[in-house]
Parts: sequence; structure tokens; C-alpha cells
Amino acid sequence: MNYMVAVPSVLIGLLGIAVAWILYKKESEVPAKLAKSWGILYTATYNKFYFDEIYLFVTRKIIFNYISRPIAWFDRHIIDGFMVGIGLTTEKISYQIRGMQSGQLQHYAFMFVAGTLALALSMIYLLT
Amino acid sequence: MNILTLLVLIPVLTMIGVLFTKDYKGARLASAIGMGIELIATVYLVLAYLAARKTGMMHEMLFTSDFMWYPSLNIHFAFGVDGIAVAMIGLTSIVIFAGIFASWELQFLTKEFFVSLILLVTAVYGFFISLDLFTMFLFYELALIPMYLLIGLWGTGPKEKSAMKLTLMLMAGSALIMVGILGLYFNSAPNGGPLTFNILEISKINIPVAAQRFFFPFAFVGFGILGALFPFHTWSPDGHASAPTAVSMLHAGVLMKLGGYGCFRVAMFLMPQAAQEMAWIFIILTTISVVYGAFSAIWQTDLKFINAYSSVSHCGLVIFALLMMNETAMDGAILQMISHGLMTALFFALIGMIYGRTHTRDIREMGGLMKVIPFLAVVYMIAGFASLGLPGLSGFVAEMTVFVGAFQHQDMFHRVVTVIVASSIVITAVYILKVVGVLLLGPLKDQHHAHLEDAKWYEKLSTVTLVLAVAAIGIAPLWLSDTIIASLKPIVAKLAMVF
Repeated sequence: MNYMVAVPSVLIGLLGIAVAWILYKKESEVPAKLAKSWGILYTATYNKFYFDEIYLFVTRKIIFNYISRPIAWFDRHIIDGFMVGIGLTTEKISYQIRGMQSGQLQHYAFMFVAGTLALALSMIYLLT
Repeated sequence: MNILTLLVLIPVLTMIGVLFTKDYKGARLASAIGMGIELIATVYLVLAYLAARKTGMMHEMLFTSDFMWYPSLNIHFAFGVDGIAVAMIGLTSIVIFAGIFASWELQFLTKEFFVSLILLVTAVYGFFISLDLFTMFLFYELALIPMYLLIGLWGTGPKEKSAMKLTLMLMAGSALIMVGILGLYFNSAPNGGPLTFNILEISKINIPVAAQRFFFPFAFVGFGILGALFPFHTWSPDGHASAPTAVSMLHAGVLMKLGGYGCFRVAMFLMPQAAQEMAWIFIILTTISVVYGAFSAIWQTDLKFINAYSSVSHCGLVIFALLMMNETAMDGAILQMISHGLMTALFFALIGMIYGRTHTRDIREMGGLMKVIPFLAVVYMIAGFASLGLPGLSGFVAEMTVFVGAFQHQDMFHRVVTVIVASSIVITAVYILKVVGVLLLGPLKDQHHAHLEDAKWYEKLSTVTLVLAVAAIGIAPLWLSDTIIASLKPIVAKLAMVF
């Protein structure tokens, strides 16, 4: 055990208990007077140096509003929007090209001949 | 009969049984009996497995069986389990058992619902026991189809759209997996000889490094999509929000684990060189997943969205830990899969039960429920505490193991990402405590909620089963952890060989 730390801290604790016992054993005006004389320092201590308020401010105002909110928005609109966009684009393209499935033999024959011609020309171009 | 065959056969027989029932009461009773027997069979499997290991059976996989299915492509029905698969089967049995009771009051097309649900779970069992990549993939696909019907028919909200989105995204994942698996198959005999789909056989040879580099991303991202890897996770919030209770439970609890399981059993184990080379890319993506999921969860107001984003964060941690590639971190990853599976199933069960009473999932419309439905509220708190990693519950064990394992890496990169990922614990605590505070504590917000009925017997059975499992792992994690570590050794050894 580290007595250099343990002994003083226990003693300080006991001192605090003793002071509190002396001050509050009987109802008196001493604590109120002391509080007044310490001013801001007393108020700050009384409010735990406003740590709760700081924590709440950091979580509610900063983390919730300036980090979580934009991330949640980014996820729904950018990331998810992109994924949905892929689906919608596919749908759009299929809508645009559906005219090619006309059911008319002449159209298919034209496509077939045009395709063959394009392939043949590109082959000739590439191989010669 | 082989116990593993029985594990697939029991759900199949249950489905047939459900088809012959007359009304919804019969259907749910048949399902409960079937899944009860399945749970008993799983307990038997766990005991048999531990006993076999104790007697010194050192084979990588136990209870193996092999039937030739399609000779010309060398496709087999090859089954077998190691400690990790046994743990995953245990998780599946617990979640489906709890899920049946969470759907006890469903009266719309009940027979069809339970048949689809049990078909889904049959595929999950098939996946976990498969040693053949082809049958593994087959079962993976089989799990996706009932999912579409379950969400599309029995879901809530924009269910058709969500079902479509979820299925399409996961199908895109399975297309990638298929490329990865075919890549493995066609490179499984670099020195000539017959090609094989068998995982153990492929693990004994070295797939050419060039092939690994090409096919690893396909397999890893493919499985990663199901494991909610950023940025392919967006099916998760919509899918979970629209799915009926038991389906959300099973999907987040078990199905998402197929992703993590596939990542290491297929992608990393069979392509270790590529895994080592590309790990850093996926470590960055999973780090984003973990923190981003947690931050997104804070801003949500729908209970299911909160849990879905929380799942993105927790499942991100699974893949993150796998990529750390040492025994401790990978052990943590498996523990996290089980822990998250149990607690997220518990969350979704509770959300379903609360929604069934209040008809809203918006936390802004609820408050002070602790006084009205104390049982459900206390269980919700337990689930929350497990989620934020309170000691004594499963989340703590899993997360601690992950972080200890991840910090074993000495280099700056691994340490920095570990610290970033560890910060998610605080963010998780923020959104969990926020929800608990708003939903359960304080004065009753809506007077319509003043006379809600607390949990019924089947709801208690469902939630208590999950709570017991969460607490059991939290209090006595070592037997599970030791079983997992023993089975991880060949995988870690294979990954370490690369150095």
C-alpha cells in the first residue's frame, strides 16, 4: 500500500467530516455566513463546478446537434440516396429502352444487321 | 443419424407439421414444439461436442459427413462443425425459440408466416454446418427468399419498398460472393487434379496470390454487405424497421452473423495473403461503421431505427475484430457475434411488444413506461446495459476481448483505430441511456398508455430465455471463449503463416 497517498487522503476525509460535524451539529448562522464570505467559490463548489451542465452541453448541444444530426442526415440522403439512386437509374434506363422491344420483326432484323455490321467493321478496323 | 443432419431435419419436419395444422393456434403450437425440440437437440450437440473434445478428438471439424451430390462439378453435401459453428448454432436455436413466442399473437396468414420463418432458420442451420462452398452459398441464398416474403407480407410501414431494397442489396452481395466462390473453386487445384468446393481441402493448399488479390474483395465485400459493412449498410434500418418482430430478431440476431462468419470462414481463411494485404482498407471501413452507426443512432427517434443503427455499429465491431487477425481479437469477434445476436434479438422482441401496446415506436410520443409495464421496462434496461457493455452481461466480455486483442498490435495504425473504435462505447452509452431515460423514466407522457398490460407468459418466456443467455455469457464466459479459441487456432495459424 502507498502510505504517502493513503494516509493524507484519509486524514483529509476525516477532517472534512469533522468540520461538517462542527458546522452542522446545531443549527447556526455560521455555515450561511461562511458561504456568503466565500462568494463565487462557494457557489461553484455547491454546483459541482458545473460539471453536469458541461456534460449536458457537450452531449446535447454539440454531439447531438453538430455531429449526430449531420451524420444521420448524410446517411439517409447521401449514402442511402446513392443506393436508391442505383435502383432508380436502372428503372429509368429500362423505361427508356423498352421501346426497343417493339415486337416488330423488321426492327429486330434491323438491329441484328446493324449490330453485325458494326461488329464486322470494328473487327476489320482492329485486325488490319 | 448424424446430429447435424437432425438439426436440419427437425425444422423441415416442423414446417410439414405446421402445414397440417387447422388454425393459428395449431400453427404456433407446432412451431413452438418443433423449435423447442431443436433447442434440445442443440443442447445435445453442445454437450456432445464438448465431450468429444474432452476425449481428445483433435480434428478441425467434428460430426462430419459427406455425400456426393453432383459428381461432374465435385459438389458435395459436406457437413461438420467446430466450436465456432456450434456456438453460432446455439445462438440460432435460442433466437428462433424466443422468436416463435414473440410472434405468439400473430393471426394473419399464421401458417404461412411460421413456415417462412422456419424455412429461413433451416437455411441458417444449413449454412453454419456446411463445409462445401457450394451448399453454403445455396443455403445463404435460401435464407434471403423467405426474408423478402416475411417483410413484404407481414411487415409494417413501407414494407414492400423495404423488402425490395433489403433483398436487392443482399442479392447484390450474394452475386459478389458467388464470384468469390467460383474464383476459389477454379483455383483450388493449382497443381492439377480435381477442383473442389470443400473448405477444408482448399485451406490445405495455397490459392495463387494473384487470384487471391482478385477474388478476396468479392467474397469479403459480398459477405460484408450482410454484416452491414459501411457504406453497404443502408438496407439495415429500412429492413429492420419494416420487418415483423420475429423477423427483425432473426435477421439482426442471426442472419447478419452469416456475413461475419462468411468473412472469416471463406474470405480470410481461404485467401489469407490477400486478407493480410487488404485488411487496412476494411479496417478503415469498419472503424467508420462502428463510430458512424453509433452517432447515427443518437439522432433517431424510431426505436427500430435506433436498434438498426446500433446493429451497424456492433456488427462493424465484429468485422473490425476479425481483421485484427490474432487469437484474442478474433475470439472477441465471435463472442461479439453471439452477444450482439442475443441482445439485439431481445431489443427487437421488446420493441415489438411495446409497439403492440402503444402502437407507436416514436420515443417522442412515449415516456414513463416503467410504472405501467415494469417487467418489459426492466428487461429493456437489461438489454440496454448489455448493449453498452456493463460488466456481468455478455457485451462487456465481447467488447473487452476485442479491444484487448486489437491493442496487441504494436503499430500506430492499429492502435489509433482501436482507440477510435473504443470511443464508440461512450457514444453507445449516450444513446442507450437517452432512450432509457425518455422511454421508461419520468412521468407518464401519454395518458392512453396508463392502463397498458405488462408482459404475458409467452412474452416473459421469450425475453427471459434471451436474458438468461446474455447473463450466462456475462457471468461465465470462459467455457465459451475456450471452445472458440480452440477452433480459431487453425484459422489464426493460416493467417499468421503469411508473415
